[in-house]
Amino acid sequence: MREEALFLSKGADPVFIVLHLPDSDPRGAVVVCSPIGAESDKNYRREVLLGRALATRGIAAARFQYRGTGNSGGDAGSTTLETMADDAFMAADELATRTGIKRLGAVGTRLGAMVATRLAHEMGRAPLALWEPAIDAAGHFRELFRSRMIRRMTLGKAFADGPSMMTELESTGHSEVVGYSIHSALVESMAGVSLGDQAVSPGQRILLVQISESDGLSADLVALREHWEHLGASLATHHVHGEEVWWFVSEQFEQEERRDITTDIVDATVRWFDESAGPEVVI
Amino acid sequence: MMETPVVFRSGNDDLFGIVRSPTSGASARGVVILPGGRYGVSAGRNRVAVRLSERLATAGYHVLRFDYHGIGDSSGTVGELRLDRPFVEDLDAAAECLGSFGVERLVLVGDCFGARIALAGVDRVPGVHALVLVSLPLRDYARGESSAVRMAERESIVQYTRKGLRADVWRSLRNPTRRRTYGMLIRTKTRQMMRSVASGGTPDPWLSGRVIDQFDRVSRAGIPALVLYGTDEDDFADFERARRGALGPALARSPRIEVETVPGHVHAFRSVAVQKQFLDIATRWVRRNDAEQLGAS
Repeated sequence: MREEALFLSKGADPVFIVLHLPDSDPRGAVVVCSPIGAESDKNYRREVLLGRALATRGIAAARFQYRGTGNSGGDAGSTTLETMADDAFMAADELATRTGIKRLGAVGTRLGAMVATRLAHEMGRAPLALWEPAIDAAGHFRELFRSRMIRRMTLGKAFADGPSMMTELESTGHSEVVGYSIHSALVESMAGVSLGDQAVSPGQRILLVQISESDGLSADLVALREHWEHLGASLATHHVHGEEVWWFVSEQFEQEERRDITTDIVDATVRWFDESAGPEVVI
Repeated sequence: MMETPVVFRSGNDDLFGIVRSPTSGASARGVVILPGGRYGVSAGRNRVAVRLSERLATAGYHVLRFDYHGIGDSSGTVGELRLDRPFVEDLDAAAECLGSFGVERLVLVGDCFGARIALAGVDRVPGVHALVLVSLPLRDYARGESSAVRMAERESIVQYTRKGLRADVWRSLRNPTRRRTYGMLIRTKTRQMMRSVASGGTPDPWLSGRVIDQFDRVSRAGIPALVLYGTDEDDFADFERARRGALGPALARSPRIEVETVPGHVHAFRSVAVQKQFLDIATRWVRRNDAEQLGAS
């Protein structure tokens, strides 16, 4: 297995991308679409481990960072759902060129699920794995707002002190959650967007992964599964027992590869793509 | 923008980093950014390391941001993050990597655990000319023990023994989190007592002896350093206490060690406003210090 990091550029702002390539010709290839903000940092090592695990199973992987985030160039205020999707397509093109595989798979986490779903559909019946997907953007941003209020409380400020995130976004064009900037361009580009409205293809294989303490899928995910099954997609689900606090860091340091949540989610996803990467699915 | 992904060897691990080259072209001046031990991903929270790289590259520096072993895109694993075991080997490898870009004079910018690495690296890594130490912890503890260390200091062993005999405390032991917390508290309290006895009654048994020695070396070598804290940080309270005690002589000896504060917390850059303050202060100080050093030579 080998790894290559590079900057891809169509315009002025380069997209940072890391390729995980098997030693021999790959029998499948997967693009990993990250979440944003603290969720992206939280998921970072897990995505690295996924890329490495896929590559050791003969499946190439591309991880990338959206323009305006992470190591990529660009202004954070210009990031929108459209630019995120463009960046995913650019990463997919690079991966396809490097591996010769035309129909890739996609993984998306949280808001990255919106991007991965779009990418997988455009690529035509591509296998799609979604980790803790944000079901609808509005609900996701409400969750961020709650994280922000919790942060304020830990600083000893009143629960409702200060302007709300949405008010701030409207008046200044940006806000923040635990030190991560959230810009109105992104929020507006996702207004009314939900996973259920995203197109999926008949026969498309989709894996939904949920992390929770409770048993079984949440009502939202059950509804999404039923909706997509109704559209003809072939759904599988995986429940990871545990709790992931996406916007806060535990005081205890725990190596990501030793966390049960991480080993479970990575193993299940690799196994699932491994099954998808048979000759009847890829190319 | 001129950024180059790099991979360099530290022990058995391949470390991943990105070097941003100065906009002005060739330069022998370089900066290594050493993140704290939380997420520790090279871009930093809200891209603070990326933004610092941009600013310092514009000022004429090669800037390296990288992932420690076991973190981000680097290989390896981290068993435990301990302040008394800073990743100096990773820093050494990073400095060598920047050397291949022609860098001879290094500024180390570290936050929390990264600041401990920077301080420990002064006399072990060649070419270090200046330090920016953000929220430098002065105690030695493992990641996650910070609260236990401060709790253990709050009350005496007699007071804790009395509490330990209470029925509600025993009942709360059914909760595994509480059990872990109490266990950590007992271990920490025992260590503090042993250290206090071993120190023979010196006034600052809680203060890391390594940090005192390292500050002493920085001071004697005349290495310029900026020490930056948030006024509400526990680590700043420790620093003020240490300044009146064991750290006093080293700080008094060197006028080149400057202390600056910002209101609230700067540790881990948990607000956009603090990130901007840090970027302004660090960039300004690095540039001014460089101008002074060049002027003096």
